[in-house]
Amino acid sequence: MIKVTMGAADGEIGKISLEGTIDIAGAAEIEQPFSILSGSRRYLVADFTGVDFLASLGVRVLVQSARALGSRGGRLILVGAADPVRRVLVACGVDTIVDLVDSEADAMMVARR
Amino acid sequence: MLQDTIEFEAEVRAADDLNRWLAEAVATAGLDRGVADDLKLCLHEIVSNIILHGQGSDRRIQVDLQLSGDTATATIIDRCHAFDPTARPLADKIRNLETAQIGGFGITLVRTIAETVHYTRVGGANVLTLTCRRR
Repeated sequence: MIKVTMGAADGEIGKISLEGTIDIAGAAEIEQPFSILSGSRRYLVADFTGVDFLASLGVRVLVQSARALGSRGGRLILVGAADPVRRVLVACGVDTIVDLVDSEADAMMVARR
Repeated sequence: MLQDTIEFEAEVRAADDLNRWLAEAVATAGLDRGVADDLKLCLHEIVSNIILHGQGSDRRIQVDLQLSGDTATATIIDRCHAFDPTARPLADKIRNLETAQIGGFGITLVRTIAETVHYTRVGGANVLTLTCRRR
């Protein structure tokens, strides 16, 4: 079960907040919001503070998003990924193509630098 | 030692049932938190693979668990066409945006995280046994 909240955009920066589990069902839920935001903004700040689980199907969504943003010179920025989530990201090498930060303030600094 | 079994249809909505059952079993057994996280990830990857790619008329999946302290053993049984996850090549780790592959990480995660992964085909069923232990 995953709750997805689209935040108010800030110029070229889109925002999304997730809460719950990104398993096979959760990955299907987040695919469209990530696709929409990644196709319309240059940067996407995704708040992962409330995500307790990430499976590889969720990794697929994040990689697609990072590639779409990257094609326009942008980045995917994940905020507050907990240890079990971060471990999956690092194991797949996702940390080499997205920014992992601790707070939204840090994310905004990355997007505006 | 806690032993438990669940059987469900290979459908996306089964993920919630699997989560609830697993959380209860892990709590009852007092399983180490890190081992529980590893077990949940491995189970989801294998079960998701069967749900999305398994072919066959019998779509039931059975999961048997054995949990004790810092060790978890899970056996996942399905009757779809033969598929040996241990025979697949491991996915390359992402290194940059240009060459990043989008998928194929599930089985690689299982084989990286689980201490042992053993596959056998028995009487028309895929039987995958994996063990997670505190690192």
